[in-house]
Amino acid sequence: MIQDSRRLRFVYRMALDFSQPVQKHQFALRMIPQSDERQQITSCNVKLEPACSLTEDTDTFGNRYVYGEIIHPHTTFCVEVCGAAEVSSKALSLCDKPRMALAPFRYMSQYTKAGACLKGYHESHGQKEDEQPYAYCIRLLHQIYEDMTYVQGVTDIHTTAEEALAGGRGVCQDYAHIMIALCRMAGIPSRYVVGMMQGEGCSHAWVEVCTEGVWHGMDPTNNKFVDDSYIKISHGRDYQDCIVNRGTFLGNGTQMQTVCVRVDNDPV
Amino acid sequence: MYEMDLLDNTENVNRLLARYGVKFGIYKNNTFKEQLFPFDAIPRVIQKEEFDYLERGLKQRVMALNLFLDDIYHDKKIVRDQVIPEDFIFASSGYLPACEGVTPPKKIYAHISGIDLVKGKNGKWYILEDNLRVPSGASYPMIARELCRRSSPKTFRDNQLEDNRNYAQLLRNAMDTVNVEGHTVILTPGRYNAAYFEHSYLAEKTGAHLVNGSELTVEHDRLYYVDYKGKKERIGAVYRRISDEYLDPMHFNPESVIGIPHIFDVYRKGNVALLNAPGNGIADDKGIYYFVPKMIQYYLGEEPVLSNAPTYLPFYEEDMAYVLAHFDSLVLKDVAEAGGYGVVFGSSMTKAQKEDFIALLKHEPRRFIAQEVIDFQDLEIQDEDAVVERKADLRAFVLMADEPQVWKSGLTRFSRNPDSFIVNSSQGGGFKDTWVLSH
Repeated sequence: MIQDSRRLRFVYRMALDFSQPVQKHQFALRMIPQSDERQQITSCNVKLEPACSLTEDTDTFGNRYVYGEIIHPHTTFCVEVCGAAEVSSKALSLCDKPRMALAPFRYMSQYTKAGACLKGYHESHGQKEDEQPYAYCIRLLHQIYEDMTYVQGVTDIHTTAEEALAGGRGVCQDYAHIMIALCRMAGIPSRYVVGMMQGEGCSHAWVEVCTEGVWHGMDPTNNKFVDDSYIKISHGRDYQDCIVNRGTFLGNGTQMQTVCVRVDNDPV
Repeated sequence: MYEMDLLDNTENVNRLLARYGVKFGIYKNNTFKEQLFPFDAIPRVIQKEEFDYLERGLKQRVMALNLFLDDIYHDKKIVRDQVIPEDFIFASSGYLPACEGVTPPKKIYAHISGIDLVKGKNGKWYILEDNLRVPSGASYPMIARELCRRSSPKTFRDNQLEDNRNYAQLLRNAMDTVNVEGHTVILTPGRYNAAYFEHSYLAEKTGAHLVNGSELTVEHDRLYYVDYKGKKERIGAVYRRISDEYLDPMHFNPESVIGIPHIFDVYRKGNVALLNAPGNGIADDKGIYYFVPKMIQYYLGEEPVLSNAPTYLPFYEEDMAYVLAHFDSLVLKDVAEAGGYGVVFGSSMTKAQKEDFIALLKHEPRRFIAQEVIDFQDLEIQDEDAVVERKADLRAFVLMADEPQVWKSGLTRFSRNPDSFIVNSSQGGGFKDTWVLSH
């Protein structure tokens, strides 16, 4: 039981439509939220269309993932994860891991490598001498929100923090990568989080920073602390560790992905 | 000691090598170009006692590196005990978090190691780098020896040298030792790979199937080979000649089309052996190279038999001071690069280049290592009708079965450019056979 919590219901629906039938479709999905100090997942169901048997596993960062294969030809692939959660209003989860276990979150990863732009930004906005890491993260949260403009379509899944900052525009993935890069430049462990948020129709990405043994959730896209309207799905060093749907298949044609996420108050 | 007909046949041997497809494919400016790997018939000869010494040192080195890999992906004692600063592990692109806690069959990570050495003018051998990911090159001296035997049988009757045809047995043994259950395959990215000749040649010599990613499939956490009729055979060991990044689109680069979805899950669960183990890139890191002698002391409690080239880490203040004071006599290497790229000689820079480089070095000290330029021995090579001297190195191969074994031969590569110290085949060098005398 989590104190001061809110009950939420969630539906995460992802559909792939193929212009021509595909077969031997293998996939791995990271879209199942897990319980932690901040959120209790009280129910969770996964529905697949076409149906197939699933194998479940946990990756190196502790995320649950399921994988399977649809061998026969199909033109749509649809996954629906729905359930209920109790979420604490405190954006904290404990981090009792030894210092070394945090190392992957302290060093740069593929999407967060610093170039001239991030270095310049770090120099002009870097941590002040008497500034605590937590306070610095909050300042970054506001600063990035100020300096970036939310625009869809100018960046894509390959855009790095450096490129997004140079362009000054982007989406939640870019905001998160920029903040992570800057935190790591200051030596503060930080990780990329994928999840769901009330009032947002799509999946969302934010940041967790670790200071004084606690992970704090911060959302630079919305300039706010992660509260009881957020349900976390997975975390990792950057986007690549949290890709919601990885897959390969045989077939020509094109695919179109639609994602629909809904988080509501649970009246019960 | 060799017969003149060996040298007279150089052209024939090279023609045959070309026919067999002993070529190197190189991507330059986005175009694929194949070039021959020129063979020089004058062998490099290593005396028995000298090779015994190398063998001792190489075994020791690979044992320590294997223990290091196990430690890094489990307890990380060497970091806890402050022998290696954590920066050099976690900031390295060779460290793969996905391998945390994964133990390969028989705890063998480094099944096939290619260790590059040079012999200094002072007669002393130095290790230049360790290649524990997918080292290539063993097939070239194998086939060259085969062709030379044919062109000059007398040379090989009269000289008492170690037969190098046993590489296939050593490799087969390394694969069988870790095979979990089922067949053994060699996984190639295909014929446009720089080392495709080698993949096919080693498959032929070891009797393993040569396969590409689309012929393997994962079912219920087991790996299978699917033949043209759709029949499935379980695979217990994969000598994969594709890099970690492309191995499994479900775990690494999602856009890889040469890998096998979920092969990493099968490996993680201990249901297949991968040679070499994923995550080995950390051992090849040029920054980690500096620490290998310390590793040997740390894990084995022994003094290193073979030395590194004298190396400085600008990461340490005193090393930085040394590097700045002796800049012109050092070679600087970018730790993230391989294949002879990212290597610059202090002496060959202009004043402006030097200033820029030093600024970069001060800004990113972790990114570079500096080494004394070793004046290594020249070897004779044939150039038209004359014999000239050129720089050469040696890639020795260590194969791990229950014990490490050193192949009594190796790939000797030479620079064709008289002024160059860089012998990499990707930079246009040639190769020689390496003779190890048997008494």
